[in-house]
Amino acid sequence: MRPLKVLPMLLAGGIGERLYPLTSNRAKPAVPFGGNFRVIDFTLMNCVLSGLRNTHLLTQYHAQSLNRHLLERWNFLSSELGEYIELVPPKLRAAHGVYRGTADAIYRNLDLLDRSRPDLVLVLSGDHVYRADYGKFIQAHVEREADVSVLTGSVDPGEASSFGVINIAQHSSSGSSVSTTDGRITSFIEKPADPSPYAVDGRCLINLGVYCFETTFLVEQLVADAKTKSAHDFGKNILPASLDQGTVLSCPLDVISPDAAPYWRDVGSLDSYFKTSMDLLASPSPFDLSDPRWVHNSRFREWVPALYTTSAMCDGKAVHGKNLVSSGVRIEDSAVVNCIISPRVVIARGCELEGCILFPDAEVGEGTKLRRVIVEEGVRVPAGTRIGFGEDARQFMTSPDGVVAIPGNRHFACTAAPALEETPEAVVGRSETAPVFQGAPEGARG
Amino acid sequence: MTTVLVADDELSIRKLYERELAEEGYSLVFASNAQEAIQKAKEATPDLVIMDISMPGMDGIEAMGRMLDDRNELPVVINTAYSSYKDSFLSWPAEAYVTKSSDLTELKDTVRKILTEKSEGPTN
Repeated sequence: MRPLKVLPMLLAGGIGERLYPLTSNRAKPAVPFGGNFRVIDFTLMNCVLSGLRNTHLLTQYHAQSLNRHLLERWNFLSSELGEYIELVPPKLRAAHGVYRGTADAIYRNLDLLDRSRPDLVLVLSGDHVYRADYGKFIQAHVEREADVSVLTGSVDPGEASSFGVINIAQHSSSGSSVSTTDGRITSFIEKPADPSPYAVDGRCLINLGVYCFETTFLVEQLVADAKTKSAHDFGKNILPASLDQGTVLSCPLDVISPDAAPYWRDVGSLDSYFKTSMDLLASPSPFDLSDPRWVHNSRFREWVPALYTTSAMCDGKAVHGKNLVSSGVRIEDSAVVNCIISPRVVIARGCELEGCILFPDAEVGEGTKLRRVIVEEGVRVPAGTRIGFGEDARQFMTSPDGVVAIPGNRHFACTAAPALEETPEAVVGRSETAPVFQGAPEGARG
Repeated sequence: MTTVLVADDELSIRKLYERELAEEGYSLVFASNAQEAIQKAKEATPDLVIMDISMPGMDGIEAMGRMLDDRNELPVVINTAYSSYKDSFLSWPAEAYVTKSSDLTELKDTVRKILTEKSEGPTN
């Protein structure tokens, strides 16, 4: 029997509005994560570690950011061995210009499926952080003779209303409601206001946005959906319509995760991005980047930043925590705790940084105090700056949970440096001549 | 009156279809290549398109895709001498696939069935 041909189609075209300003100049999957990674790396690592080395990456907004990242980071795949990650921009022939939904993105690339003629199509999303063995997912799909397998997670009903909820309950002959024994999905409910009726044993199943389709079944569903006025979305349209057409089964993440406690997060908003990032620093971490079950003997272990525990005085209080620090970082005599620091970041002396995420090439001037702040790539925070202490809502993009994001085009009015003895190392980020860094956004200079 | 657009590069086919389909009571619009078919689909807003695949320049599958970009509910009947295109996923958005024959019974029955279903209302 010939091996099954599986084609991963990775959806990486979302505009990422809720992650703004981190997505103002880059695609959502290209947002830095964990110091030395981009969000999309986790799905791509899952692919490679599952033996899937031929992925189509469907891009749209700010595709150049993904292109650059793939060229720099993912250039080890060998085209001579049939390995590739192919960026697929939207077809310009589309009257609508952009993809109308996740299903439309694949429908408009039917030629790719026609050319490679896979047995199965693995539909993946580029903005999730998790570990999974797609080989086991595919195996479960084949063994159970599904037309569609949906990767599912389990959450408390109180957390389920922001997800697509999956119902595997059916009515028994006695009239009571029981779970299907084979995980057969009976309905999809998109972001229900009250998910509790769909809970089984006190937990709700949610759709994790990872699907395995029989190719012909997928094409039939996409073609039928394209003729409707739907949102052309997998969760809202394709999957509910598939219930009447074939066998749609739930595959719990527990079955295919290498972790004892499976971890999956959607980093779709500033708060979820920040919270997921801080999970990396927790003790014990629910998502350890250096977990040997994941990176052992793979090139990915070289990508994992240094992690160390530390204590520091921040705003007059002793704080104990960890830092993730990438290569090429320079930190002068400063208090840095619970921070994720990307490559080539420079932090001058006398700073206090607590719970911050610094993107590549950011510079923090001396005496600066930052708390729960995300500093964009290449931003130069002037000496003496103080952000994250409750007075930033008007000046900066602040999330509902109070995370402040300093965008890449941010320019600061010059502030007085603290009374530290001037040394060559202490002038990082300061300008003696220019009172304002270039390109301040409207209203930012007052 | 129901309007049917026929896209085929062969004059003899267009003449045959003009005679046979006019008997069915359709108003007919003709195009001799894919680009012309796309243009006429916009101008004449047909109720159905009969589309050849092998034409000079753009092929009928590409033309169908562009028409469906504009009007996703437009029924297209692929009508080609080659049955092999039927396996291509790109032909699947067509409402029906009828291999060319000197006997137009299957084509006429297919067109009539689709138009009847369409007139009875959308199924979704």
